[in-house]
Amino acid sequence: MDDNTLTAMVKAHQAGLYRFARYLGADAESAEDIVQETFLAAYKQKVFPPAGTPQCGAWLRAILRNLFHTHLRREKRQALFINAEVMRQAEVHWQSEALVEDQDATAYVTALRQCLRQTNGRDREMLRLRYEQNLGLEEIGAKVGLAGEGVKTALRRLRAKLADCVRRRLRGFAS
Amino acid sequence: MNQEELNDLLVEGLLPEALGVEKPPDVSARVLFKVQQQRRYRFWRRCAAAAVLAAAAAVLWHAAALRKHEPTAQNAETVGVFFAFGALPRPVQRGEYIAAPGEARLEYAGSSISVKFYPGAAAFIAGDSAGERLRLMRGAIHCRVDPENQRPFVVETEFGTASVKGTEFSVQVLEDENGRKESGMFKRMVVCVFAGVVAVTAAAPAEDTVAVNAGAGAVVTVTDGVTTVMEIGDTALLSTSVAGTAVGGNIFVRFPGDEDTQRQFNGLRIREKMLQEKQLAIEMKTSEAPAVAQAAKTMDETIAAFRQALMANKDYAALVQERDNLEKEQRNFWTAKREDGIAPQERHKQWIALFQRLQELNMKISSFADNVPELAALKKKQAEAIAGFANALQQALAANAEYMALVKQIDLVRDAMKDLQAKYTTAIQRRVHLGEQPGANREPKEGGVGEAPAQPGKETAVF
Repeated sequence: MDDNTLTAMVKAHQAGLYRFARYLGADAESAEDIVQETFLAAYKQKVFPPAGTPQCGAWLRAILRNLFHTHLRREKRQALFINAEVMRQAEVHWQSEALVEDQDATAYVTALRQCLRQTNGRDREMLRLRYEQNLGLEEIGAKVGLAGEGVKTALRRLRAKLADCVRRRLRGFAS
Repeated sequence: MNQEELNDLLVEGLLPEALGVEKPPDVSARVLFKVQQQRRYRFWRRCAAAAVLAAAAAVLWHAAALRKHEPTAQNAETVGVFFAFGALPRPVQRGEYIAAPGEARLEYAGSSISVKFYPGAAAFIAGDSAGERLRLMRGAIHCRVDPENQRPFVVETEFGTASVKGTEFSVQVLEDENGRKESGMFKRMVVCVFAGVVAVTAAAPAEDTVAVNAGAGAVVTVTDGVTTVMEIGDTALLSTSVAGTAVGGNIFVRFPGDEDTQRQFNGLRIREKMLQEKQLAIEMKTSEAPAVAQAAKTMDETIAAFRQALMANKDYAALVQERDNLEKEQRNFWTAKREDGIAPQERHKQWIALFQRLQELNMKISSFADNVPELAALKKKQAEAIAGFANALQQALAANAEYMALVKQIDLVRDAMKDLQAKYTTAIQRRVHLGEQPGANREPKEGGVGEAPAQPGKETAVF
């Protein structure tokens, strides 16, 4: 693989791979490292799909999954995706959510952003405290007047609503 | 994991970006940098691998050249008798690799050359009928060459050579405690001269030579692949280094932090020396016995007859003369050709060609007697006479009960010394494993080396 091909591949797939790594549960820093390692591993391969194609995206995600699996085992972390079979399920899910055509999941993020605009009041505040300020469940509960478990349930319901909203929007776009 | 859980994870993973807290980073510059770094690393690794291969090829080539220099089984020549303390004497042949666990000595038949091997020393017996060569592979040796001996005697190591005609000197190849060759000053080949003059020559390509007089010494070192020889005016200087083993004839085995073991080991060492002295005295006395003395006389006569016939052969003399000239050319090769403008690769090819010619000539000289029927017959008689002397001595010693008892006792002393060293090493390893400093704040009675019980079932020496 020459430098130009590698650069084209990185430009086309880095955002999608980063989001996929975050979806698998990697924190921002680890996700960035794993994406970089994925491209370095891809560079060593003699045969590879054309950059920018869905096949190339799937191929790179397979490399990333293996690297992430190794990373988790090395770190001895108990993560949801420690099981290789669950990682394959995640790949199927990633593709089923109409992300195949949208390799870097930009449309999904855009739809999610639009859905977030529809949230308000306590929901919006909880999301901000959790994902912007990285506060724990108890701390959020103290601010919004709920127990830790209550915050956890509320956030899960909120994410389920957002997922439904995104799916509706993406299907609307597709139709 | 069901669909809802996966949806939940997907939203959770992408929420920070949707909220504008983070965005996918651009890793293209970092990836390209890493790729270029790996490419550079691979390039240097290939260079290093090529260098290693070249070095290995050179070593193999030298090893092959060395083997060429050694006679084959067909023209093997019995050169003397090997006396190892703790064992019966035996005849040795050219091309043989000799090593002794303890002290030993090699007596060249009919050449008045006596080589003492210090414990751990090992050497190849090279050379040919025109001169004796001993290739010291490791350890230290002490050589006595009678001034009346006119045959060249050369001790070779991988660092250089020590050539003599009549002198007394020692040569040592220094190694660290792990058996690796050490590097740096005073840590390669050390030559100490006690009588006469020894020419010490650094190995190719330097080929520098210094003449070392009695009471002085020389050190051959290798720095960045270049061999250098340096004369040391006083052997006392050398004796302050590890070379003291060769000078003093004592093997300093240290047990830091364990005085009990050190005391026991020193006692065993003294005991071993005393037993060796007794063994040597019996050997000397036995060699004067009528049967052995007759065998020695026959041996001397046949050796003299063979050498006389060999030197009288004009073809042989011409070959030896040609080799002497080539060796001289080889010694001066690098200094003489340095400023003639020849490319280094070409010069190296010339040097290899010269080396090969020399090896071929050595082979011819070594096998010369085998191709001339009269000489071959004399050579065979010589080998039989040396073997006959060794056998006569061996039989006489084997029949001596006191001698055989001494041999067994020396073996037992050595076993006890080895046990002490092994126990000390085990104790050190255990302490290092436990994170303790060797010898620091240690109570000998609590698992000290000196207190270790004897191994059950193992024969121990009674002194």
